[in-house]
Amino acid sequence: MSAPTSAMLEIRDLQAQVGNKVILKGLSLTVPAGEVHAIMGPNGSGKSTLAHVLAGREGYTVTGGQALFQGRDLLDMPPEQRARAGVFLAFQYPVEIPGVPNATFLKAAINAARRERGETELDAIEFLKRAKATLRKLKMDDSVLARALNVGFSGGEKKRNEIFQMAMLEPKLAILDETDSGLDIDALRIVSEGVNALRAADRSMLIITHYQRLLDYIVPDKVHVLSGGRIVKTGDKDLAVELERTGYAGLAA
Amino acid sequence: MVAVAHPTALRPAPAFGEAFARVRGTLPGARTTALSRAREEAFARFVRVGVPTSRIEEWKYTNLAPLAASPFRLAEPGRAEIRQSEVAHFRMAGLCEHLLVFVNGRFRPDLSDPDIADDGALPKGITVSPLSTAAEPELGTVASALADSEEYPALALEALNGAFATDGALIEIGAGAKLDRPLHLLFLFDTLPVPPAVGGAQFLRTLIVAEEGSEATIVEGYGTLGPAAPGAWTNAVTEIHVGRGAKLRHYKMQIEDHQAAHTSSTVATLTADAEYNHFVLASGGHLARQEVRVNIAGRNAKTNVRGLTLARGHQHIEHRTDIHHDAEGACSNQFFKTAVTGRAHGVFQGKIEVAPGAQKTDARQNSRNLLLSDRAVADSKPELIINADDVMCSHGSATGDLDPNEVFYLRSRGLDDAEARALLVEAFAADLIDAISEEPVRGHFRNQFARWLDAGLEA
Repeated sequence: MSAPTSAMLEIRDLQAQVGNKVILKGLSLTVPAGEVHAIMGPNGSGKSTLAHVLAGREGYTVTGGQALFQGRDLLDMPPEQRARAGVFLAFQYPVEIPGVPNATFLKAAINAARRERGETELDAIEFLKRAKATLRKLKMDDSVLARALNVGFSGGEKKRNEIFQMAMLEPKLAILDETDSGLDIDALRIVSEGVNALRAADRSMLIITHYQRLLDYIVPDKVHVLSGGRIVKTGDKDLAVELERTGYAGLAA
Repeated sequence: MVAVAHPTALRPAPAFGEAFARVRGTLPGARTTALSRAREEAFARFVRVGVPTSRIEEWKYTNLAPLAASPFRLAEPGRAEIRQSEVAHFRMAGLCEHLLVFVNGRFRPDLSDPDIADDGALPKGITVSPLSTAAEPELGTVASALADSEEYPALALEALNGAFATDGALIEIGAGAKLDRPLHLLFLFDTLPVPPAVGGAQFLRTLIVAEEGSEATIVEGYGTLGPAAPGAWTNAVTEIHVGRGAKLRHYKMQIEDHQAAHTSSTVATLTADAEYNHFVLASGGHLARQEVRVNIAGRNAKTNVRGLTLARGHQHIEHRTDIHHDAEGACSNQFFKTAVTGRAHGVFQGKIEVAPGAQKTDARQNSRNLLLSDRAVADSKPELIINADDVMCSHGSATGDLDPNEVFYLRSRGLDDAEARALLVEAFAADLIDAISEEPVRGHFRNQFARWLDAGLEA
């Protein structure tokens, strides 16, 4: 099939639908290793669909095109294989799961990936050490670990918890789906600092957002505009500023 | 099988009568007139009322016809040599329990704590005697309890138990006494001495008397030694009296093999200010029905009655409760959860009855069912009979399957489908197991739950 590529993520002519409704209509996009790309677009343009298709959620049917992650066919892998290979989706609406403590869940997730890579599993002590250090960086309280996953968390706490998981799982490709929605300015700054701290030469990020505000804090290498299920414009960080001024109205697909 | 006088019952097969005639001279208390008479009366009651059918409300969901028709016989004694390691599986970790082991309806001193039934083995004021070696006054207590039993079709198997009981524990927690460690009664069915198709029935009868101001934790365990045996039937009755201000925590774990039949009743009477906490986990048996009846006879008594069913394959597991508020100001709280997969059937029938005059009663009941496969079935049937006007009574029930959003969230973090489902089922039961206040008991139930999960959810 495809030759090895230096791209972290390469999406070619991706078409996807939910039920009979076609949402992605030939989307192409390349994110090289180490780069942060933003995807902006109006409501209903397919931003969240793209995130879910990349993470492997049921209910989305890919009808054409490809998504390659480090040259591997991402769409052929079950969601857990994508995660173990290093793809992470920060949910727009993180799910509350009563009865599952954050720590239990996160340790299981980390060890699933470590087993996959043939590494030894983290024991409880090593896990706690890393978790506490990471929580400190994100200005989160240790008590999060014992609490049930996202249960009773405020909107901001849930988003921060997504970034905490991301920091612990150290993905190769992080997809942030409207991570800024519902965040006040302080939370936005903390979350952004957390994300920026994770920028690395071997890690790429795809930041999906409706507003330019987040991109003041997480400065992208490229900005893509998604409209009508396709990328209609690509530019540098200044494109986001321009969009903020002109709106999406002038960008018909 | 021919219908008897009660159109709702089945006439017991002649094998029951033949077996009783054969063994009654050898049963504990055979030479105690009161007890042997009580046994004969119990057997006569059983014959008169017959085996309940689904037309009796209490037995609506559990079909005893195959049991009533199968060739009835008492279980053979277990093997003479049973290794401690075989029993270890059913024990609590660490040396944190007092242990009495019964195998095939017979006390086994070789597998129990040394001298457990002797004076001095337990804290002052606490005595434990196996029914089979009990002395005259204790046998008299059993006889009078048995003689008090009602003649009622739904209680037929309890009458049968009274007739046939070969062993069990007689426990007395004297006034103000405190049991230092949980007392573990382990009732095992050894299927190895006879061909697995034969099985047989074991009848156990336990009496717990917790006197005024006493405190104790008692764990009852039911399990199988050896391979699954389709004819194996355990029938157990545990009768409990909780005295004024006494606190009794009573845990029950029913993990017999998947072909066994299990029918058991816990019947507790509470006096004023008594506290009785009951938790039952049932994951064993082809046909299993655990009943808990609590009669609140004293003011301001409190009871929590909780249960967890874990069923897979073709298992049928039922819990039935009957909480009877007969005194003012008492509080009862029932909480049952059922997780079923495969073609299993889980049932919760919960009853609250408030007698006239039992004002200021606070009685609650809640059940949750988790369906893990398309063919699994869960039934919840609340029944509230309230004859007083100044009371708080409530019930709720909910049935659902795993939330696909939760499963996807966990999978998107790297847990595979089976791990994700197991974690969610663990979460479903977590609050019940976490509510166990003593660490060794909690650990024991948690381990058992983990073993159940490890066997996989796709059965």
